[in-house]
Amino acid sequence: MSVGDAVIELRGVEKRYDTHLAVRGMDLVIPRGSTYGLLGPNGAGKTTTIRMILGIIEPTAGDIKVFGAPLEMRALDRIGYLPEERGLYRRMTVRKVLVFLGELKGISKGDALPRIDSWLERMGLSERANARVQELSKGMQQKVQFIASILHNPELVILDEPFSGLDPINQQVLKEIVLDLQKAGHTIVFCTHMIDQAERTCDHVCIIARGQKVVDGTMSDVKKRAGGENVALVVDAWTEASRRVVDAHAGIVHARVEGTDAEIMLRIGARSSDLLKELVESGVSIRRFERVEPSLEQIFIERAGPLVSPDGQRVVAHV
Amino acid sequence: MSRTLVVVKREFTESVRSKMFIIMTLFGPLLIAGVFAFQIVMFRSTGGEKKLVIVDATPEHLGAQIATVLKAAGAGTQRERATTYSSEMITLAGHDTAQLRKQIAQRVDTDEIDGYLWLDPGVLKGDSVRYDGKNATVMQEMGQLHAAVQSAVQTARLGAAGVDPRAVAVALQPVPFSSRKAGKGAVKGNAAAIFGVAYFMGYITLLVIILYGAAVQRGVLEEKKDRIVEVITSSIRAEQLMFGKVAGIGGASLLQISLWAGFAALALHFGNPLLVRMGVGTIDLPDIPSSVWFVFLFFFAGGFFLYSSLYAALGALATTDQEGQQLLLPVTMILMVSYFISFRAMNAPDSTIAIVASMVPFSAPLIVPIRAMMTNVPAIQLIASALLLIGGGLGMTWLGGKIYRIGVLTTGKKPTFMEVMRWLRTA
Repeated sequence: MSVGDAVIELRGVEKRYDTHLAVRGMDLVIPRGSTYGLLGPNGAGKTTTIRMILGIIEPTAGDIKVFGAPLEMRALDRIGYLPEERGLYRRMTVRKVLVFLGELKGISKGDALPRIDSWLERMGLSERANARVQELSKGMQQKVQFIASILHNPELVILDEPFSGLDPINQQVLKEIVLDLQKAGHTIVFCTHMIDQAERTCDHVCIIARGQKVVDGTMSDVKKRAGGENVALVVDAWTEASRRVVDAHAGIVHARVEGTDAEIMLRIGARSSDLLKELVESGVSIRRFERVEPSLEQIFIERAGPLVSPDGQRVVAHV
Repeated sequence: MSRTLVVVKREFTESVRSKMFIIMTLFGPLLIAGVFAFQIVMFRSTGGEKKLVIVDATPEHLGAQIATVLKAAGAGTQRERATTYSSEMITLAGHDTAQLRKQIAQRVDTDEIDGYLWLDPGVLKGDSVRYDGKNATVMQEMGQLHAAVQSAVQTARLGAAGVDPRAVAVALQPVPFSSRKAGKGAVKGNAAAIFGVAYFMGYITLLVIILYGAAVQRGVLEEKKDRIVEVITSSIRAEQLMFGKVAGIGGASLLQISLWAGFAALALHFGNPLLVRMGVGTIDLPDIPSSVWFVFLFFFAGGFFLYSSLYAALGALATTDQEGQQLLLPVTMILMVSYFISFRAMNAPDSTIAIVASMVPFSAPLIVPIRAMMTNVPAIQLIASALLLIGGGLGMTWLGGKIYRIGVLTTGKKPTFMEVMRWLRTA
């Protein structure tokens, strides 16, 4: 992908708060029309990065381009933003607060009202249009805020933890809308630590940890570059000896054992055949032993998680 | 519509639709008038009969004359709560002075009498007269007592010089007096009314800054607590949000003052004929040139912007209502000092302190309109004050904007002074 197709481009961006470096040396390219997952544990620097992209805070160093140029106020009208910390004017009615937020994005009250009614209907909130925000449940308020972020039909939608706090039914409603936005060619940035969600939704991904980018690219590239061999293992029942193999095998970087299933990531250079041989010798009855692509969660834990130290010390997690 | 105007519109609409605005618009003038009336009532004498002892050591028997004047003063007053005086005369002859003073003081302690007036033998020659009493702090009663002593002594002195006591009585009759302010360009009219309007200008500026400045601070704090500020600042700059908030709430305050002025005009239009019919007379408002009104409105608006930017920055610094209240204290202190200087500016509008306070952006909004009411402020001083206020206002908006920009996104603990300094360097 050429940089010319980028909706957002960061080069060497840093944000320092006194002695704390919240974001360091961040290079990022978000392609037009992509669904981009900005992933990282809490406190990794995701929200700080987003706030710098939106001009809410200034970077200490580096360059940020939005729609191919340094950020201008007019460009903000082309962006929709759902922040992680939700908030609305609690004493205003739903319709009025949406008109206000729409006007801030450059759409007139006349244009905003039919859009608001349409979105409220889709979200099942039509009857609450004239209710004060403080009278709504938390989930309803979140849906109102989601409407505010897409009301002006933005080219770029940035959603910071969009599904947190929503019940499964409302999560599904939002997912369908996101899917529609994807189909319509909008660029969507998901900021989340819910990795399985990102893996199912995103085509591009960037993992941030401790203020730094640790890996980025298309989903398949990231998985390909993750390195090592990965094994999906299913046994009839674990034996003492087979457990010892998984716990102590020198080639394992990370193993996630859940019931009779295990996802195992091998060190670069280690061979899955050696592991299979040891397991067979341990006497365990194997139902499945298959080399697979690493899951995004595995990559995330390996690259961003606190469980693996930078020197690659092995970790086995029994769930 | 510009994004800042969208914020101005919201802040204005929400402010004027609030219950507080409606209540204050309708009942504010009554409340302000009530506060003034309350102050006057509180300073007035409580009325009733005051029992005095006059210890008279003068060879001219001034005590009796003072008692007569005091009695006449009380009797001549038609008011319901007028103070009347009954006096008991004691001469020093045959008394031990210290013993007598002690006895009379005990009578005051036991509430038998209200106080005693001590006349030494040399009063006519210039010795001072002293009053000790429970009501010594009641200015109105002490004024009456002082006037009675003055009148008796003057009459005695003129009598001693051979002037006919009847002629003295005629000569000492009070002269009805009124003062009207004059001079080129200055406000003309009844001096007391000019004083009243000048005082009102300072008072209303102070009141509006405190009321609406606090509303700005509360609004900012609410936005922080409601967590909406991040959504808004993804559409407009924090400084624009702050400016819009100050302008919107400021507009609401101007609307309220205009409505109050309208009520006052209506009250005068319909009230004056009523007062004439009741035999009270008319309210004689001074003739205030439009230039003075312009000065008032300019400095009012400038002061509002200056202080509101400060209040907005303080709102951004606070994380709880309690912290917000604590942060208000230094600003309130600055305002109160300016308010106290305004009294000096009313009595001595060309004094050094009044001129210096006119040049300080924080006190100028209260002082300059008062000076413009009371004297001919040189054009150069007016221009300098205006420029300094504009400069101070812009500086405060810039400084407040920097604090606001970081402060509104800060939650958790209140930042320290050093942290705020760092914000100013890095924002």
